[in-house]
Amino acid sequence: MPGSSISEVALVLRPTKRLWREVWEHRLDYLFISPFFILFGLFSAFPLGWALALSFSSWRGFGAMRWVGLDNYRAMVRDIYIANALKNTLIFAAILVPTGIFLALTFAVLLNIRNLRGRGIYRTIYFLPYITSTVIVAIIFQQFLDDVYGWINGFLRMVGLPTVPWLRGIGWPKLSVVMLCHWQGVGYNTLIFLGGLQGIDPEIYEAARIDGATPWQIFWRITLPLLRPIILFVSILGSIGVLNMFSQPYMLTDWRSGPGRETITLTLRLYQVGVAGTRYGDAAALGFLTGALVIGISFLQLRLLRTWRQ
Amino acid sequence: MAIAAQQKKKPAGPGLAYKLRRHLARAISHLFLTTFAVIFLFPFYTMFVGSFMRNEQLFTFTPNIWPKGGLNFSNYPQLFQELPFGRNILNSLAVASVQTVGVLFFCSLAGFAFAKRRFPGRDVLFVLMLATMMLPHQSTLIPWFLLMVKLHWLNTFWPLWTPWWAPAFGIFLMRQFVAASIPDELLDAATVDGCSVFGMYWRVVLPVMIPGLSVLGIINFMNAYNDFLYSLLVFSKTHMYTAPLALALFRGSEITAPRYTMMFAGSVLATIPLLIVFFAFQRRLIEGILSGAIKG
Repeated sequence: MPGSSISEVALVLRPTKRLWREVWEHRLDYLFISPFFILFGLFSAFPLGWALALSFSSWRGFGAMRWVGLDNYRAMVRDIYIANALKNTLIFAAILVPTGIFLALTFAVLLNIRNLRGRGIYRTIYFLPYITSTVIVAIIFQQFLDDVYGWINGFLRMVGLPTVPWLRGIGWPKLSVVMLCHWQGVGYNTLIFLGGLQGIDPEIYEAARIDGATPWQIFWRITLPLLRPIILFVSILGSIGVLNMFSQPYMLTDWRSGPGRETITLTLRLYQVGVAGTRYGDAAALGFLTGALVIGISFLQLRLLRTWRQ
Repeated sequence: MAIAAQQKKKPAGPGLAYKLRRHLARAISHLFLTTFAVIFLFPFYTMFVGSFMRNEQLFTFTPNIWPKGGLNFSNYPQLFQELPFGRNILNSLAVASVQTVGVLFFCSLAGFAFAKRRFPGRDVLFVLMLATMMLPHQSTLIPWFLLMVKLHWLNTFWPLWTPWWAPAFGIFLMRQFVAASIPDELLDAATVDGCSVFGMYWRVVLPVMIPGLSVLGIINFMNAYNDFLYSLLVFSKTHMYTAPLALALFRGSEITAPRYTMMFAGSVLATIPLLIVFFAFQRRLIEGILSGAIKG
């Protein structure tokens, strides 16, 4: 029967029609949220697709892209510079993230002492390096760490200790980069931990104290477990930061040619291959390796900290 | 008097050792915190004083805390002679301010829509947006750069403005802020009064959002002002250089020695605008981080 089939069609159509009308009525709301989706599509999603295509091709910026299959990835696995950069980056992450959390937590606990005089001033001073450009921080550190004229070696000489080749020796440049990162970044994490500590209900501490818990026990059994989400947050963001590390070693050390190339990181290698070397295919493959590493390490930490119980 | 004091103290007698220990702990904490305050401040001091030193004053076998033979003011004029450094600082300010204004506008607009408007697909789109935060920037760095080449955007400010205008993180932050600080009744009243949707955003939501906006704004401003990697990719002409790039020019190479006096003078000048912004918004910024609003 034609009549009933028309009404059936109308029945099916009506919801979608109504949906479209509703969408049209809210066009202004979509307009409001559209900048993100437009800019993301243009400047992130499209480059990501391009990167994927590039990573399977050989291209130096002109002419046609030549499909090479997995060659770039195969070359990447064999590239000793990338292996070295990967090693350095992982060492940096393994040192910087835990020591950074330890330092920031120590500062935060001290700054959280009740009625501490000068808390605001300490907070401001500790935070100042964070707002300073890495380039400037690196300039200051270079002068501090100079072999002959630097403050630190001058001090070591004064107290009769052997001086240290901070920016050139074996092992030392890594330590120098670590010191720079901590000096610059610890204030920010301190504030985040301090915020977490201030969010803990003082009554919990009071109850623990009445039960006879020592400050040490209180810290390990109460404070630390309660800070778990913040520790997770700081360590994930910290790891992402380390895997992104570029300007610190770029400015501070002789990353290109120093002995052992101690401070070349994955992002520096990416820059070297992709921008300076215009080997776009290789660089795109390396970008995916780094990206996979970022996601992998984030998930690993998520799992580790979820299972960590006190 | 003395007896009264003694009597007053007596009940606290058993706690005296405890009190002493607490005072000692407090003193040690202060000593520790002050030592680190010096460690955090001293490099700024050497930068400042170093900018008034000549090379031979800076490079002495035992570093000088104050230049022997007095301060020397020639580094600053020298810096401006060799580089358009005023222009470089203005470039940094232009990059940071235009980027930040865009971020504040687009993030608050989208944050308002996600928090207070009801439209089909809102929650799906919101989750989709959050998911993009997982995407690592390194994977797109090279094609992003190539895109800038194709758009003929090298040596313009556009690469440091437009792509960064609507960060997912900022929108998320603003959504949380609007949801927490603006009651629905306020918006309903505005609707009854015949306010348009944009008018609602502009006249009702935006004024209430100022604390949240200032925290997002200053964090964004600082990051943009100090950006190095993306500026390095897109700027190759000295007059387009931002301050950090210009400073890096004095770093030297295999054949030329770094020129610290120049770099110190430039660092002092480049830090001043940021310090002004920081101290103007410091309370809001630090409170924002402490309250857990900004975690990024």
